[in-house]
Amino acid sequence: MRQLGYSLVELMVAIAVASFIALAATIYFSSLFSASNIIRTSSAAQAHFNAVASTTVAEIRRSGYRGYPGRLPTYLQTTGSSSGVPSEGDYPGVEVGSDCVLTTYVRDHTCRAGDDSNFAECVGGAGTAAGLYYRVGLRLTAGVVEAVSVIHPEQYLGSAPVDSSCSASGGTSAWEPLTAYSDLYFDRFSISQEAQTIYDGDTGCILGTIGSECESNVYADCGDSISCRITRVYRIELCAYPEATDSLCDPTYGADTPAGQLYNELFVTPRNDVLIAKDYTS
Amino acid sequence: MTWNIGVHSGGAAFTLNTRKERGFYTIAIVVILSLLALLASRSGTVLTTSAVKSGTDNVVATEVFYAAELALAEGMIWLESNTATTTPQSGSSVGVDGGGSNDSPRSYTTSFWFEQSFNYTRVYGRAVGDDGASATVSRWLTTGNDVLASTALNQPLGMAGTLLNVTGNPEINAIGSSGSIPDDHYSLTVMSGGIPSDYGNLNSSSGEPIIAGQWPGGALDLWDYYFSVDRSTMESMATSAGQIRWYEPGEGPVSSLGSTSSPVILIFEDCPQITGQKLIIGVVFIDDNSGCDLNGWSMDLKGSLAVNGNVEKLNSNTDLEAHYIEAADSIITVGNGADAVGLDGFNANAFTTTVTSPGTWTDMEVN
Repeated sequence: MRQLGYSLVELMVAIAVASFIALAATIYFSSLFSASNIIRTSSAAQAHFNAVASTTVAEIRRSGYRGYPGRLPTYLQTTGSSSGVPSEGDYPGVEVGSDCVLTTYVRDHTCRAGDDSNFAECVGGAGTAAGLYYRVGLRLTAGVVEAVSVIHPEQYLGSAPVDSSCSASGGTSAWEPLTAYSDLYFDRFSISQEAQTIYDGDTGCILGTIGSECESNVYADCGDSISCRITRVYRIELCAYPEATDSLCDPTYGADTPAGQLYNELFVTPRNDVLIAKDYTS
Repeated sequence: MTWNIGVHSGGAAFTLNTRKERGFYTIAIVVILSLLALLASRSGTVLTTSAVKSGTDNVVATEVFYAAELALAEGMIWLESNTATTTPQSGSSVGVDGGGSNDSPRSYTTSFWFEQSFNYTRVYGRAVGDDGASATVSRWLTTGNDVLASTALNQPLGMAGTLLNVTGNPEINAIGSSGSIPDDHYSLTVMSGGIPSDYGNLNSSSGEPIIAGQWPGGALDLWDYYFSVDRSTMESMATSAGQIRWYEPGEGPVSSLGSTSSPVILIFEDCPQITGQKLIIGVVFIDDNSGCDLNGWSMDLKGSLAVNGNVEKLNSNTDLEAHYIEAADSIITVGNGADAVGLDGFNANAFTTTVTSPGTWTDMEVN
């Protein structure tokens, strides 16, 4: 009996067509999953980027919180100046350094055993409820954003156990990495004071305002002949990309922009004004 | 075309339609490809959704804080005509446009409440979004009443020195028609050992006896006898149009200030010249230890005038009256002609104004 089946040609054509379909499907799905991976990576990078941005904004926003209002005079006594150089006191709300920002605000603290030898607020012993100034900072070091959150060094009766300054390094540094190379390389993390409005602490008028009692006063008078309240605006510039190479950031997104670059410019105003009290001792 | 693929025991051939068989494989391949396409598409959708959600979360996190700050502001306005309460009060419901045709609008329900702690009030503002996002912020308030020391209103005239060279016929009214002065109250209070030997014609018109008190001995700064907060705090609480005002050297009020329901605290860094027969109701504190020459002054004061030094040339154009003197006994009149009436007294508790304590905004340690 004659056996009917595929001829060699039929088989080859079928294999060719199937191979073509398989190849096309492979390429299609490969590119699809590759695109998915890129999106996933970009999404993760965006999340890391946003985390740094939102943390920086939040910390600057809440800076200058002095806690229970009864403690304000103690702080104000550390401000002022009679030398023409206004002093913002022992706990300035925001300190800006090179690729670094330090913010300060009060947090509730329950004193523990031994705290009485560290903090004047804890002389009542363990269990005493106190408000202590904390320092929270962010800085850029070799493509990695680092963070610090410690009790403010000025709060210690003696020396602080760790170094939380912008220049801290080595074993005593309190800074810890917030981001990682494997996620994102931060090329720029800069904070600058963009603008400020200075008010006379007594009358509320803006210094330099023509026709007001503030007309002849300038910033240098704060803490000397007048008390001041200062509202400031800070600019935050962030730029990051996946490639671990320095100085590639292009805010204009020109032709040489590194792949996957994330760039943002943010502005934030602390909710607590800078306070400088007139130096009554001068 | 048919294929013989076997023979039954009966010898009849079993045939299979090969076109149907090919269709089966086609269906299988299509199903597999469809599944893969679905998987890929699902993967892309999930990632895109995740990215959009992440972006939306950031927007919502910002929005909810602004909504909470709105609640805080509403709480402070509410406090102007209500008593602070720990019971949460409803604020506005805030609607936020989604910003695009594909974004859902969001709304936030706000509330505010208060906590009293010693001399301060803490106001909380909270917002809760319809998507569950929430934020609470707070700040502290201080009432003006808390800045006044208990001895501030015990005399219409207080000085860190003594009274010199009274001219004309000025009046200090601290007794009224009752004929007696409250315990620990005086017509004037001077430094220890500084009771004047000559009052000139002070109270010669009314004939009211002058009851003089003395501050405790030693280095004398009247500030702490008048106020319970230090200078820098007082200055930080002062505003240009509020109940507490602070005047730099050369500055002064341009009109009458204060009322019996809302007296004022005026701090002068030097001795000003208050003219124009202004009526001041409250406390005037002249923080000038070189004293104050009242020559040229023209002012009626209900409350207390304090000078951180000597007082010279108190004259007939300046009348001082204790805060508790009622209208029938008042030497200060308001209104003109037949409508003129005496000025009622005021309670020390009338020094109630709510001011925001600087440096007390926080979104920490709440929730």
